Amino acid sequence: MKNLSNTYSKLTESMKSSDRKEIFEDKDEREKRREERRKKRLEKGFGDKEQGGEDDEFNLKSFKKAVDELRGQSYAQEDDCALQIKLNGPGKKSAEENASKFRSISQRCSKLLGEIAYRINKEGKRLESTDEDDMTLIKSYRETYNDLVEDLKETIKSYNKQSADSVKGFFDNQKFKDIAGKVEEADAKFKKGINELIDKTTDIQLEYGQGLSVLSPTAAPAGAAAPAGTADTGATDIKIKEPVKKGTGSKSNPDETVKKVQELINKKFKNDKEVTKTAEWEKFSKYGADGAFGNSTGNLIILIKKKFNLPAKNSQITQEFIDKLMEIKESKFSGSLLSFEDFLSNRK
Amino acid sequence: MKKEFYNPLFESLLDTAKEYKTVYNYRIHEEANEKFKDKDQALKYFKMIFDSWGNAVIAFTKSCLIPDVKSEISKQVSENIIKLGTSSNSSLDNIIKVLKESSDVISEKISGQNKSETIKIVYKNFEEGVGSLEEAYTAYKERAGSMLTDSDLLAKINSHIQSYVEQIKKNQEKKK
Repeated sequence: MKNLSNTYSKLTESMKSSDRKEIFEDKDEREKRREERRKKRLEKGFGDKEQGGEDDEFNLKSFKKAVDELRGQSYAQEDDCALQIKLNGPGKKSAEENASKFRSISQRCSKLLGEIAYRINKEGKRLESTDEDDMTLIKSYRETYNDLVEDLKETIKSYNKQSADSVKGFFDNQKFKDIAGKVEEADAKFKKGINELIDKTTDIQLEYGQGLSVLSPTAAPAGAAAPAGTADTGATDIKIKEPVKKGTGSKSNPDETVKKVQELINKKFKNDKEVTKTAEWEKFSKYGADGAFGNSTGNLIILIKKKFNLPAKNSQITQEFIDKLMEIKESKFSGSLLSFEDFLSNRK
Repeated sequence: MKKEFYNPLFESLLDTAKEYKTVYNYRIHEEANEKFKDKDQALKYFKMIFDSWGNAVIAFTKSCLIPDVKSEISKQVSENIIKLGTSSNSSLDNIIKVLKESSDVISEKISGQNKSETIKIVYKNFEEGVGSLEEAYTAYKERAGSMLTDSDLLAKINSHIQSYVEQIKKNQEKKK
């Protein structure tokens, strides 16, 4: 008991700050300290790691790139609308209705880019997760980005649908079906590609290593950095009242929960060679997160349940299974499953 | 000796068949090989193919999410498209050839990069769409016959392409 008390008192002693100011420093002190750090960063080439910079930083340059690419997608749609209007073809009406929506999204992206450029110019290319003001800013950037992605996604889908409906009648009325039919087929493929591209924007950005997993709409709140070695809780909102059975959802009528679980499985296992080399994964990856709970999803779930030593009699999605998925430690995987810290310290 | 014979099933089928108009084999054959009735019709179908192809090339170039790949693609594709619109093209085949080259640049650069597997899967749609347009153009050539080399039709198509490229340039200017 005596020993323990000694150890305890030594420990508490060691935790004491030698400088009272460190504990009781006021707001002005913090502000001053922050300003000094900023100056230091600017002098040292914006705090690059190799130049002695800090790790807990949000890379504004990477973020700027991501927003720029998003604006590129919006521009592409804006141009498509302008061309359809100019060509005066069957897609003109839907183009006229949607052009202003795309313009507005591009403008919002431009405004955000201006703001980021200003911030880089003023404070260097990184924000610090240890700073309260910076954290508020990071959170607001993340929300704005996710809003933009969602708005663009919605507008592209609605534009493509309207355009497909109006073009359908046009192609049906053409005399030479061998030509018109093939052009219609091509148009449908192109629209599908553009829809998929916007759906997978974050996945693609994540894959090419910009470290933008934190920007995913389902990512953890920016202020709540995950403790080291724990999961990137990218789907904390998946709560189910009862197990979801195979057969739930279909391609035409996708189920939201199934889709989220499929996305989560993809996110957690896409870099796990043990899983990706299996036939079950191969089949699952062909369909992706389509919201339809069929055999390919079912078989993969059974495989994962076995891996977790969960009851694997059937493929039902249970809350226990979802919780297990979310508990997966990042350290098990290589590649692009990035934690919040990884994102902050991303050097690209 | 001719044998009289009555089959109720056959009679019923015959009655049904009489309710429909006869379609002679030669007419089906004629429609399959029917040419465009005039240059306007030929122009309309060519525009259909060109516009779909051009729009897709531009959309998939601008939407590419990998910055370095995108800049490589944009450079070559914009050179090709601008070339199409600024000089008078010598034949319809040449126009299609330039579009095909531009599509190939996109497909090659996307499949050649090793940064994202997802983008490769997404761009398969683009490649399949281009495949359908190639088939459409093969059918077009059959229908166009001798019109393919008609200078008047070519001039109208060139004029359409010039105005198309002008619009693209205008869009680009707005972004600056």
